[in-house]
Amino acid sequence: MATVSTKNLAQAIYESSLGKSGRELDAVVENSVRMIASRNMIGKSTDILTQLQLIMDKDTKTVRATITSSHFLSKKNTDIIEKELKKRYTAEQVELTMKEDEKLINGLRIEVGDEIIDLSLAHQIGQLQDYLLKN
Amino acid sequence: MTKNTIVENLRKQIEKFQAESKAEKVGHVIEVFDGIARVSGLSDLKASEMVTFESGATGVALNLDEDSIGVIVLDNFIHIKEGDSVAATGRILEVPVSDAQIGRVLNAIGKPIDGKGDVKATKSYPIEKVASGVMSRQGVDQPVATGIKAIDALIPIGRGQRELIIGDRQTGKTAIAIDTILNQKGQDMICVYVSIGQKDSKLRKLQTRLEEGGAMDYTVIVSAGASEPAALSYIAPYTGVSIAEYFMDQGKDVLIIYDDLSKHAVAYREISLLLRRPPGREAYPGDVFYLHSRLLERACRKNKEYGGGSITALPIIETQAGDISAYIPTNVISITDGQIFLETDLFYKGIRPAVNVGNSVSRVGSSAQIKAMKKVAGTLKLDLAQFRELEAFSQFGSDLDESTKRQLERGRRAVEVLKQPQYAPVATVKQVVTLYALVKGYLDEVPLEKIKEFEAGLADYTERNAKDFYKDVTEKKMWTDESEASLKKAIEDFKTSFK
Repeated sequence: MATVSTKNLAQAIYESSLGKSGRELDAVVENSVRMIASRNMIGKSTDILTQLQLIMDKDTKTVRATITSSHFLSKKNTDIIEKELKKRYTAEQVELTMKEDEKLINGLRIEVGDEIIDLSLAHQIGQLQDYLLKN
Repeated sequence: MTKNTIVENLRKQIEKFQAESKAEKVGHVIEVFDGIARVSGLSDLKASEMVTFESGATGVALNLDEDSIGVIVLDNFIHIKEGDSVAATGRILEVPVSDAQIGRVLNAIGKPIDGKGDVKATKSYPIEKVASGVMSRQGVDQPVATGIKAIDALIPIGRGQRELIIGDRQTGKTAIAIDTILNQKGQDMICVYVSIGQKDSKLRKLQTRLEEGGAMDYTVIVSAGASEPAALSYIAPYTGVSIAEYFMDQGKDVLIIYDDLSKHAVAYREISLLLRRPPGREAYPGDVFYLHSRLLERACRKNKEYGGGSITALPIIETQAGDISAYIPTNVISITDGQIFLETDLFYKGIRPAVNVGNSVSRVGSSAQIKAMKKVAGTLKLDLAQFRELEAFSQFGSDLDESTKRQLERGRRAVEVLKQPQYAPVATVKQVVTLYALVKGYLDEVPLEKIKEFEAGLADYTERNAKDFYKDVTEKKMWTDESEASLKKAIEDFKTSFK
């Protein structure tokens, strides 16, 4: 049996479920689970779901961002961040996950996929340290 | 310095500092094992780009797969953990290059390991570089004097040539390389010795020998020891050639020795298998030929418009039980411009250097030989081959005619003359004198066991009494009829007095 990557499997599940709802969607889900089981890939179901999420996000132009800040951010601030992210990634939807970390001292860090925008004070201090050591 | 001055200096420095906040691509370690890390993310990473791990270790991206990146770790990988962040540096793997590296022992990434302090380098060269193009090159026409009679006379090497030294273990491969480096003193040549997967004790011995011979004044040693990860053995020759290119770009002639490429191929096989690249013959990956061809192609002689520098490469290959038809030996034989084949049998017969003249060849070297040497050594290779055939044949019977006996005697003397102890390179002009005496039959009556003594005495005597000949060969690279007459007279005089 030819090997199928989790990405290919997720793509196939996504395409076969497009425009379907109710019983039809249930049937697609059932068939998908059967196929995953027949290929002995149940152990990779987390990977398949992650890939499925990525494919869906790409199609629906959704950006998932993790915001880590030194203190709680107000709704006003998160709205500004959301707006900026929509503009930067030409996204229609932004899903934010908020985290707090005192180690940042002040400011915040935004993580989108493998991209990090570090606006924290801790990062700037690190840069200053490198600068002073180099010069 | 007072407290206030320190504070003032710091303030001045800080005033110039400007914090940058830009988006950075970051990856995460999925798994790490045996000097290899698999990393997720870093979607914009380039091939051979350097990355830094959270632990401070550096690595190089070798495999750019769809979902992950295969990184070879250049430092200790013990402190790298799963989930650690990995940052791209935006720089292709490069090594510092500087004139101050001469006389130093460096590791595979160009950092000194000889305990003599840092090397201040202002420039960096990428370790992977496309070799010089056709239009910037020039034919090989200048000799590299190795000081070894058997090589300079029979398998001459030219500046810009790639000559393979091949043989079993303990046949004197490294000895030829060291003798060649020792003989470059005063010859306007920079030497780079790349040690790949060798024992540290062997390297230390070699370094001491070079220091004793004054050769470290023009030599750089690049070392990836046997205890270091395979990744370092893999990049060491490229680091060496980048340093060599730095000197070549200044118009200098450089000699680079890769000791040895068999271990380099083994290191690359290890990395490739760990990166799950498909194995081919003898489990080497499919691009093992390209691994060596791209390295050796960087040896060249540049024409005057491009500075006129050169890189002469002497790669070393260790064979198993004299099998030169194995995968890596045949690859490197086909890439290089000739090979010096060393044999265990000859070595134990006392013929040292144990060069098998029949299997050794230099494809471009004869055009780089000086005229005088060409004249005396012209028929020597053929004579030796005929001697070996006759010698084998003569073992069956004792009834030999006079001319065959003469030929055998001459052959035995030729073999004796080509024997040479280690660390005793001979100047080209002295080689010419010895070979002249041999081919003109002056050695025919000298007893075999006294040949070495005769040779040494002759070199000293002629140096004093045939000065014209020495001057002509050194300066004009060829003798005149008058200087030849003076040499003949000197040889005859010496022969009469020799007992």
